[in-house]
Order: sequence, then C-alpha cells, then structure tokens
Amino acid sequence: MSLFDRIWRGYGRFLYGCGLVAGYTTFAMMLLVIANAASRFLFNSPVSGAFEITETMLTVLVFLSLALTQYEGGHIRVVLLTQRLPGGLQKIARLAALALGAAFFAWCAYAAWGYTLASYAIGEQQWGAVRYPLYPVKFMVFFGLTLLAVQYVLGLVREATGTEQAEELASK
Amino acid sequence: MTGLEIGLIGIGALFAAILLGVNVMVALGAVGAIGLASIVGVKGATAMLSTVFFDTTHSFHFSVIPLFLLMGFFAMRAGLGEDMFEATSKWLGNLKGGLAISTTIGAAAFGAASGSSVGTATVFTKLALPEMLARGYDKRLASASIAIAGTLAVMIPPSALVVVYGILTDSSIGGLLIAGVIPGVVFAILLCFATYFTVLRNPALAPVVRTESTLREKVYSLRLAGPLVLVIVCIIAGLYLGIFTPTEAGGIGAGLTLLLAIVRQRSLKALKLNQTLLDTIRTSAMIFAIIICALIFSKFLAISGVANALGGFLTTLDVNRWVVVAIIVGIYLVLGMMMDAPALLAITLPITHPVMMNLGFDPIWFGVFVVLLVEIGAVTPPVGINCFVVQAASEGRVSLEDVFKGLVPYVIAGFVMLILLCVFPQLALYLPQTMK
Amino acid sequence: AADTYKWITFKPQGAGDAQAISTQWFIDEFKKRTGDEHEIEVYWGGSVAKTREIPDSLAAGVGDFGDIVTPYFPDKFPLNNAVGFFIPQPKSTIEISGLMEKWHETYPQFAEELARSNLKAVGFRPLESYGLLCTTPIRSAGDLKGKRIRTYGFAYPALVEALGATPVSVATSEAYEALERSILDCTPIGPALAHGWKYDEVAKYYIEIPLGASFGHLIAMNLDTYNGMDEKTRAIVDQLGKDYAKNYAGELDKTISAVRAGWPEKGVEVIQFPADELIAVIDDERIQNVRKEWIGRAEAAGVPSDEIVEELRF
Ligand code: NA
Ligand code: NA
Repeated sequence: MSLFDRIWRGYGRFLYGCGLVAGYTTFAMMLLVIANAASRFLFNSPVSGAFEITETMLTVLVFLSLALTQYEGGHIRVVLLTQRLPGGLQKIARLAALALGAAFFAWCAYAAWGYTLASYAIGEQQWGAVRYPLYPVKFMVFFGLTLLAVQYVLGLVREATGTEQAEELASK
Repeated sequence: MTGLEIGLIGIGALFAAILLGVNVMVALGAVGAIGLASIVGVKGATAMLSTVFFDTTHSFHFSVIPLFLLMGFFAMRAGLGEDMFEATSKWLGNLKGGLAISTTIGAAAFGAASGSSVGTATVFTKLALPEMLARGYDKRLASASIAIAGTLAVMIPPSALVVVYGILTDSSIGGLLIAGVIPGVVFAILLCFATYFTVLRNPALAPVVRTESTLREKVYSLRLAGPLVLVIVCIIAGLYLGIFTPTEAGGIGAGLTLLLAIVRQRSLKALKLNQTLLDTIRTSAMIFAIIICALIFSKFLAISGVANALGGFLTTLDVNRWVVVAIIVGIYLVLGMMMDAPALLAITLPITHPVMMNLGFDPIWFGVFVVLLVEIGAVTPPVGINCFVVQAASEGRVSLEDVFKGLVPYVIAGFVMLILLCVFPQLALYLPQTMK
Repeated sequence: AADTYKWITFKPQGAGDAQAISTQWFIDEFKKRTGDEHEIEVYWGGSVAKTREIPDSLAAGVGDFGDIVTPYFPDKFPLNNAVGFFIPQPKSTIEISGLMEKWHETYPQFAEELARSNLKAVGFRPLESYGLLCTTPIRSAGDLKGKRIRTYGFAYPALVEALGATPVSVATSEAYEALERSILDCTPIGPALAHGWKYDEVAKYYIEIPLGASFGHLIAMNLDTYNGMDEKTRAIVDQLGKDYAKNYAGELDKTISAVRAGWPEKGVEVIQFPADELIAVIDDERIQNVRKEWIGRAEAAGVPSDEIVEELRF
C-alpha cells in the first residue's frame, strides 16, 4: 500500500469515528426531546435547557458528519453532462470540481475560525435556562469545515495521481 | 459592472457549475460566495460565511430533519415498509401503479402528522422505494412518485412553510392551515391519477402484482398496516392533545419506530444501531450542506438586486390580472429551480404579495397557491431539494437524473392543481370561511 | 457624489408593522433631507442577513445600516442590553428610547462597546410594553402558580420561576400552535406583537401585568461608513435618529390602539393584574441575581450603575 493510500484509509477511519459520535448525538437528541415532552406533559416541568441543548446537538451532529459524507461520495452531483464528455475532459472537470470544493470550504473554515475566536474573546455564552460557553460549539463548525476541506484536497490528490481509477479497476 | 449584471452572471455560473459535475452544495456556495465578494468585498463575504453555518444549524426548528430521518431508518428496520406493501398490494396490487398510488396515499396520511416535505420524502424513500423496485417498478416512476408525495406534507396541515407565509404576509395562520386541507387532498388524488395514467400509457413501468386474495385475506392483511397506522395515530393524537409540538413530533416518531424496530428485530443488537445512526447522519449532512449553501446563494441574489428588480417590473405592468398571475408563476418556477422554499418565500413575498392584493386576490387563497408553487420548485431541476433527498436516501438505487425525468407527469399534475385553484378558489376558501 | 446606502434588516416589508413603517419613513426622510442627493436601499426579510448575522455583516460593510436585536447578544453588547436584565421595570417605550439616548450621551462606554465591533448606534427602537397573553383568565399572582409560560433569554426564566410558574422554551414559529394546544398557558408579549404573530387568535386573555418595555433594537451603522460621511450628511443622520424614536413610538401607539379596539370583537378580554403582586417578587433572589450580573458588567466597564438602576426601579 502506498503512503497516500495509508493516509486516505486512516483519514477515512477517523471520519468514521466522527460519524459515530454524530450518530449517537442524534440518538441522544431523540431521547432528550422525548424526555422533555414527557416531563412537561406528565409533571408540568420541562427538562431544564432541553431546548438550547437540542440546538447545540444539531450543530455538533451536522459538522461531525459533513466530511464523512464526502469521503463516501454522498454529496449530490449531477453527472448528466460530464459522463458524455471524452475521458480527458471528464478528468479535467472532476479535478476542477474538487479544487473548487477544496478552496470554497477552506475559505469557509477560515471564516468560521475567526467567528470562534471572537466568541472566545468575549466569553460568549448560551443564555437560557442553562448556561454554557458557545465557543466550543462554534469550534465544531470550524472543525467540521476543515475536515471537509481536507477531504476535498485528498480527493483532488487521489484524482490527479490516478489512485482512484487504479483502485476501482482492482476492485472489479 | 452593476450588481444586477453580476447577479445574472452568477445565475449562469451556477447552472454551468452544476452541469459540469461540481457538487451541488459547492456550486451554490462557491458561486454565491464569489458573487458576494464581487459586490460587498472579500471581507463582507467572509463575514457572511462566518455566521451562516452556525446560525442555520444552531436552531431548534431544524432539529426535526435528523429526527425525521431517524424515524424513517428505524421504520425501515422495523419492516414497516414491507408490511405496508404486503397489505396495500392485497388491496391495490391489481390496480395499475398500485404501489406508487399507495405511496401517495400513505404520504398524504403521514403528511397530516408531519410538516416537513423533505422529511416525508425521506421516510417514504426508506419505506416504499425498495419495495417498488423489488417488484419491478421503473426507477423513474418509483422515485419521482415519492419526491412529489413529500410536498403533500406541506400542503396538508401542520406545515412550517404555511406558518412562514402567514408571518411574512400578516395573514391568519389558523385560516391558512385549514385552507390547505381540501387542496392537499385534491392534489393527492391528482397525483394518484397521474401515476395511473402514466402506467396506463406504458404498463411496463409498473408490473401489476397479480394476487388472487379473498376479501377475508384482504381484511386480515390490514393488521400489517397496523404498526404504521399506530405511529401516525400516536403522532396526530399527541399533536392535537398538546403533548408535543410539530418539531418535537420528529423525536417522538423516532422513539416510537425504535420501539417497533426492537420488537420486530427481537433485540437492540439485531437492530444494527451503529449502521442506522450512520445512515441518518449521512443523509442529514447532505441536506444541511444543501440548505446552507442555497442560503449563501440566495443572499447573493438578494444583494445583487435581481430580486428587487423583479418587483419593480411587476408593479409597473398594466395588463389583465391573470397575465400578472401567469408572470408570477413563471418567476416562481425560474427562481424555484435555484432556491429552497423558505428562502424563496422570504425573498419574493414582499414583492408578489402586495401586487396580488392590489389585484384583489384573497390572501389565504394566495397563500395556498404560492405554497404549492414553491413546492413544485422543490422538485424541479437543478436544485430540487426533494429529489436530492430521495436520491440520497435511496442509497444508490436511483440516480438524480432518474428522479428528475420521472417527475414530468407529476409536475403536470401540479400545474393542473394550480389551474384548479384559479378556477375554483373555493377549494382553498370554503373551509376558512365556514369555520368563522 | 450621490451615494446609495444599504440597510439590512430581518423584518419583512410586508409585515406592515410599526418597525416596517417607521423604517420606510427613515428611508424617505433621509432622501428628502439630503435634497435627493443620497438614498438608502433596504434589503428586507433577512434576505441578506438574519437576526443573528446582522452585527457581523454590518461590521464588515455588507450593509451600511442595520437593525441589531441587542438581547440576542448579551456578551457582545452587555451595556447596551441594560434594560433586558431588568424585567420587570416601569418605563414605557418612548421613555426607554429617551434613556438609551441619555446613557449614550452620558457614558462614552456605551458607544465604545459598539465601536469595538465597528458599529455606531444612530437610533433606538425599544419594544412595546409587555403584558401576558394567556389562554385562561389570570387575576392574581395565585392564578399564575403552575402555569406554563413561554420564556427566552435569561431574565424571563428567573421572573417566571419567582412567580411560581413553569418556564417553557418554545420556538417562535411554534408558539401559535403551543398556545392553541395548551402546551403553553401564557406568553409575555404586547398587543401589537400578539396581533402580528396571530397569538390573539388562540389565546383570548390579555393580562395587564406591567413587565415594561424591553430594549429592543439598535438602528446601527457601519462605523467606517458613518465616519466617511460628510459633516452635513452625518448631522442629518444624527437628527433623523432622534426624530425616529417619535415616529416609531407614534406608529406603535396607533397599532396598539387599533389592536385593542379590535379585541372585543375578536373575543379577547383584557384583565387588570394587581401590580403590587408583581413588584413584590422583584426581591426574589433569582431576579436579583440577573440584575447583579449586569451591575457587575457595568462596573467592570467603568460605568457607575446606581443612576441607571434607579431609573429602572418601580
Ligand atoms: Na403536514
Ligand atoms: Na427546483
């Protein structure tokens, strides 16, 4: 196995781990929503902070799963036109699409980093029935966007070096 | 270059990028961000990119999306789809397109509990698509019938989008919600007819499952539909008894289907919980990426002035009011190709609502009309959120092209529904007027 | 040179409420007072920036003017959020805009807090005076025991608990159905908003409990844009900001009178609540802790808090 292949697979395993954390966060969110509604209806006392924590859980689960979805080719593409192009042009189109994705999400990650720092600097908190600092939540946005940008870069390298094609042939 | 010119170039660039195979989220986000940077500067665009991801996801309102997805995946593990189709094939199997028709009926029933077009499309992709394909249904027909059925959840109350309309236009939300009932049911019937006639013209699309079952067997088969009916009844009852809100219904529904899945699989272990949860988060990541990037693009369209220019054009027209209606329909169809429904309503209603009120249309009627219109936009290419969801939830069983191509008869049904609303406004107005 | 400024707001133009009408008034008046030289284009309905996005977008120059809902940013703008920490308080809408104006003139720290984010306040838009809109008649503090009351932010949960009621968080988009289905018994709100959000269709008792006029929205400008204006234009903006408060309060009063006049026909009953029963709970430790938190922040910023606190006392 080449060095790149090892990096690619190791990164995939890491993203899988992030995905499992995201999955169990979703499961916990379900339990929290049920517990809140039940406690409110039965005992007239909602779970304190359930509303705010649900919001935070949503952010965490979305940003821990963005890159895994890209790793597994789950984000939507239209291949109507490109699959009719000659092989060379197809490859150029794929490279350009991956480069654009890498650049765009790197920009987004940079923006999210600034947003996280600003939140940390003022000690921003979630103000509601419960209080907790918000910068770790904003950091998750930065973290998820960075993972996604890195995934695009790895995809670009894989496409450019032809690793992907070789692997697909091997698997047939 | 003026903002308007940049806006038009951006629209062209979006279409080009999508057709060149760029991920739809990247096309929307990158074109939107570059467009924003060329109008408000790189610093301004970066500021907008910094807030939009957190602001959109740190929201209780949107927690319904992963929870409805979870509900769909648990429902699949519980075998609710197989059971439901066992039952419906006994009843409708001999009918042309029977399974697609029962999907529409099921989605209408489910829509009475759910307010999410995307959520309903997901659940029924999980429930109905594998069954239809296993029985030889055409991919296009099967996937498109599900994508369009999702829109019934928004037409039939409760509906988050209808509430958005009421707030944006200062109309009665109670009235609007009741107003959706009859058009929702009529639209469901139209969709069933669309399936029926499509299959009538080309019977190969949907092989009829010949089952010679007695009435006794048919009645006995109803028990199989029991678990799904139970879930729907629990959710509707919970909503009407004030036990939980429509958003919370996502969590409750997921919990109920989890219990059914555990019973059916006889243990939590056999449920393959890890796999189910990973399926859920993959699909929700896909949906949120599209929603957020569509927002970035619509911010660009707004600040470019394209949206405001349209309004100026409409108010200076001096023609028959039905010509204006036709133009507005055209605008929604074009913009609906590129934007998601709430963003589309927020941008367009300030322009279209006053124009329609000046022409003497009823605000409740226009609410039903415009919600149907933006929901048609939810299935048209290239940005058809319901189609994306169906494709993503199908786990590779269908391609995006399949879904879009299969939608032609259903989009025609949508137009028939729009015309029916124009000819018989009482479809929307009867209930709100008699309830007062 | 003629300039076209951008105003970014979360408010839909179609809302037709006091905020939308007075915003349009500001725009028209600005054009008139600059002798048609400059104008402002409005991007309504959150189409460019949503409520939580406006300060960052405004600071980066996406817009030149914008509406900042300060209670969403208690850590970013603690001083400018003073009133939000003091619920209930006795001042009316127009009195609160007067106070905000006065504090900005008296204590430079108020403007400095905004300048740190490259922002400048040019006008103040407090909310209307709030009461409680309920699904059952509430005539005394005793009637409030165990009632499920919608809360948000940090001050309302403390007040609701001090009153012996249950604070419940519900998204704004779901509050209508929550009232209709008795998930909520009451929500703090004023007549104009109760009508605007349609809550008075499903909750038929408006309780006159003096929660006071909360602050509210800043009409803010990008500081660079403001400093870059010529002196004449800047003076026009400053004066307009002051006149705005009157125009807005006038529109708000008109709306409130119209809503109240329509309530009997709609079946909404207005119920007086004994004010002293509300004032009695202000000493509750939970409410006092919220207030102390603001006082701590004010002192840390070098603002003497006594005078401000005195203004907000019953
Ligand atoms: Na619905
Ligand atoms: Na579309």
